[in-house]
Amino acid sequence: MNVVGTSAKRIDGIEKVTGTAQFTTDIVLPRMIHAKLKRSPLAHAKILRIDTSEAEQMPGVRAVVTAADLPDVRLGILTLDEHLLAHDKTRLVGEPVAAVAADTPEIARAACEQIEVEYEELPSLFDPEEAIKLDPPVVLHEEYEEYEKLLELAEMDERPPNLWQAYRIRHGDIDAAFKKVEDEGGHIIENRYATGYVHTACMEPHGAVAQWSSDGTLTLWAGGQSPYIARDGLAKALDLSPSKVRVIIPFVGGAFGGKLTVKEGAIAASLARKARRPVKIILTRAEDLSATAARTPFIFDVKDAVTQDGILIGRKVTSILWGGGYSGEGILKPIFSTHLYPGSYRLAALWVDSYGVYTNRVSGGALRGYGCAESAWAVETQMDIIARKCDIDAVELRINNLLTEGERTAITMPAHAFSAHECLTKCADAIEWETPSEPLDPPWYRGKGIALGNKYSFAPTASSTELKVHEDASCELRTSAVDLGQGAYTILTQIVADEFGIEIDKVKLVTPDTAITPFDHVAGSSRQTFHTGNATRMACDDAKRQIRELAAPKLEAHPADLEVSGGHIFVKGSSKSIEVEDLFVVEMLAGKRPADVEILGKATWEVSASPHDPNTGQGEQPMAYMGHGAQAAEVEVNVETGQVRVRKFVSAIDVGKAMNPQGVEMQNYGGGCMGIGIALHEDMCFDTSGQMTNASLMDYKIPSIVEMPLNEYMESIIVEVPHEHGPYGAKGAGEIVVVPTSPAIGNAIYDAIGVRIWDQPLTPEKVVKAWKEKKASGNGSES
Amino acid sequence: MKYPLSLTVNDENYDILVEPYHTLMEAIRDGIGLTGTKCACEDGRCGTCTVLVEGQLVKSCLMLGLQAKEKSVLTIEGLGAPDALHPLQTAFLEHGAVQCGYCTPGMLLTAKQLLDENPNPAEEDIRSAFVGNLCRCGVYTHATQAILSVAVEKEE
Repeated sequence: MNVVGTSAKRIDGIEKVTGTAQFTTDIVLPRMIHAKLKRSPLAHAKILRIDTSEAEQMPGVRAVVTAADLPDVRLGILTLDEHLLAHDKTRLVGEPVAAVAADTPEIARAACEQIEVEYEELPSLFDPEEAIKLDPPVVLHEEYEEYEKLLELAEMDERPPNLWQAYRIRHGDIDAAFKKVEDEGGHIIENRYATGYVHTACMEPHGAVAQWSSDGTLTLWAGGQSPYIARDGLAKALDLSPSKVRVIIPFVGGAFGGKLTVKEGAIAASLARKARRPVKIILTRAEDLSATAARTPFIFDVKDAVTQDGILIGRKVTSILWGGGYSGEGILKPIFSTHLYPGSYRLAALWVDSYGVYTNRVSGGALRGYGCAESAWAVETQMDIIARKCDIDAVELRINNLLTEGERTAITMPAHAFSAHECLTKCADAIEWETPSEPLDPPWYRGKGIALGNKYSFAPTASSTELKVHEDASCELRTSAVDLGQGAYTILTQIVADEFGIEIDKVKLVTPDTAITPFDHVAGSSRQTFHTGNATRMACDDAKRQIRELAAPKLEAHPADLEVSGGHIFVKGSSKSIEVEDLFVVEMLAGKRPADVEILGKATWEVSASPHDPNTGQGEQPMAYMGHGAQAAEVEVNVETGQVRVRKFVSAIDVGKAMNPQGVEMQNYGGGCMGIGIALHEDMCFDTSGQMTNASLMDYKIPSIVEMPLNEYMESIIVEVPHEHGPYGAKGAGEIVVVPTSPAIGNAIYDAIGVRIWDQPLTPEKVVKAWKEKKASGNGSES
Repeated sequence: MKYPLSLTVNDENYDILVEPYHTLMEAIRDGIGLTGTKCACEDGRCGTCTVLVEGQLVKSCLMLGLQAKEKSVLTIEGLGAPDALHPLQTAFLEHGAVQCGYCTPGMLLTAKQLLDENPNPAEEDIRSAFVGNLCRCGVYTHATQAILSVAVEKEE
């Protein structure tokens, strides 16, 4: 039976195509009421008074909560700096200050309007370069030093008061690298790049349903990425023991990093406790886009030392992550983004200073790629510029700088399952890299671009699974891995089917529910196939060991001589066998009776990590694995309107082993789609008061079908270089597929019209402006 | 005050009460309890709430419930059943056009209406028909393949 490696159909597919799949938004409980949030209209203000009395008197209102009703605890991933409901102060437009539960959503909304909040407006700070100053015009968190923090920042003489992250890499002799280039006539290439404000914009908005039972246990249904992160967050926010919180994850309508925590669920839970009724909260699209964590911008200053023959020998980067009112789920991005500075390349010297700062905008969160997609924009554009400067083909230049298998990178970890070369060359072949684009008539121009990418998967981390074998030889996998659309449930099912030699429909999945399913860290960081996949294999092994031990006396053989497959237990090298169901009966003198048998395999897969030194960025095992991929695009640019069409798109990613090739193709195309949106048009806009001005799907433009190339010009390439620790050699695919997209498109625009746009998104206005500037100067923008 | 609304959904008659400001989407989801019709944008952009009203494509968040009085509505639950899938549902699964599944009901009804009007659409026709259906997972390429495959089957 080889189910792994086949394009098995989604096991949740029938529910999804028939409308029977239940998402959080679909849950209805008896006596359930509805919650709405009262949000701050000001970016930075002291809260002087909140009067909820009128709202509480309104017919149909069942509960109102403010910070005064909640435990005075600060929450956060690693720096605990945020209250569930604003406490004394609000630090961004849209921060929740109060919440109402009422019989209908309309009453709850009307009641929110009756809540009076008296603010003392404070000056706001929106500029990250102002924010990072030692003497900034505004300080957001006066009490920062008192906050509980679970991470260590790089040492500095004095911490800028708005700084929440500082990380350095110090590898090699950076001054010597630049001096060598100066002395020997190489190139020093220095540029500033920026990424834009991007939102996950999942089709299913954030939401939750909370219900308390009479013994004080909270049950919460929410489309989160991790039932255990959600459980622990709820417990902390509501001052409960984690054992008193049960989190169930129904179907999730997309997450992409945006559903790591369930803050609105905790608010719903506090309302439910007060109202003594189940409470449902579903954010409106405007709330979802403007007030849940976003991929906030980075600013990168990159300076490279390159020899005359195009060898990168030194790189210096300073970056600032433009954080929001709270450090949020983006807390590690200033660290993880640095993995791309060496990326797949050999670097004798690397010097990085990476920061994250508070400003009065939406908090920084995760979005597919977690910093790597952002830093790739800078470094892979830089590689294209270097290639042109050295007059070396952009693919060849990259190849000349690649690491080799086993070589240590500038962040210490050895390169393993190193497939950058294969991804790059296959991608180049598919886009016919050697053949220039066929010219179009002005004002349209065509060009090609290519980029490499990497995505690490974080460590330390762990996944546990349980595998129950039933009397009919069917298997039941209990997992807290979450299928966000990426296909995790199908892949885990394939693994079980393969390990037991049974049909896929004989495998049942028990999906995330902290009362039943064991710990799994998170559906994030491209980790489910790798980690949960390993845990699943191990739980299968454990269950098969139990089966062999139960079967041994019946078969009068040693357990080691037995083999379990297809519902049978065989004695190796003989025709003797019994069925799995035989294990569940005991033959008595008077006949047969059910045996007291429970076959339950259990396993935990763990990957440890040696801590990064925040002052040097060095560590033996800073991550679980490093993924590789390359993408190429051919674009058509209209220099009069600035329109950019992606004509052709190729994505070649290394998944170690394609557990489900169609699933990989779905990631390749789907990631490319998101990457095209991020590169060209997705842009959260804000007015001068810090209010998002395009908080609707009408105005925040995620790609529609017409932004995608025609089918014949889409190509998905699967590279399989097995990882020694991956299940069947597999690595994750979920994030690498958006990492090279933006630089590939930006490089293609340069190829087409000879202009660089340094800050994402590459909108028509910027294209036209850059083109006009180029015309005016009679020159390209980078020489 | 709620008003009575009689309508047919998936060939079944319903008499429900709706607020005058409730949309058809709310009437279907909350009034009737058919939750396959999803809500994502509230302003008609994304197409996840797409249903067919008298065979015409309607974004049910843009139509008031009471406007559907005495009308016949098809939702995803009426397109096919788990044990009797519509060819488009089968094709979406076979071609990998389903990821998170939240936009899927609206996409399938858009596809059905397209094929009802044009049994053999070209890729460009599919792209035109789908400009009003957003999918954040990015299944567009696979959805196009799925619809083309159904069109080809019909042709054969």
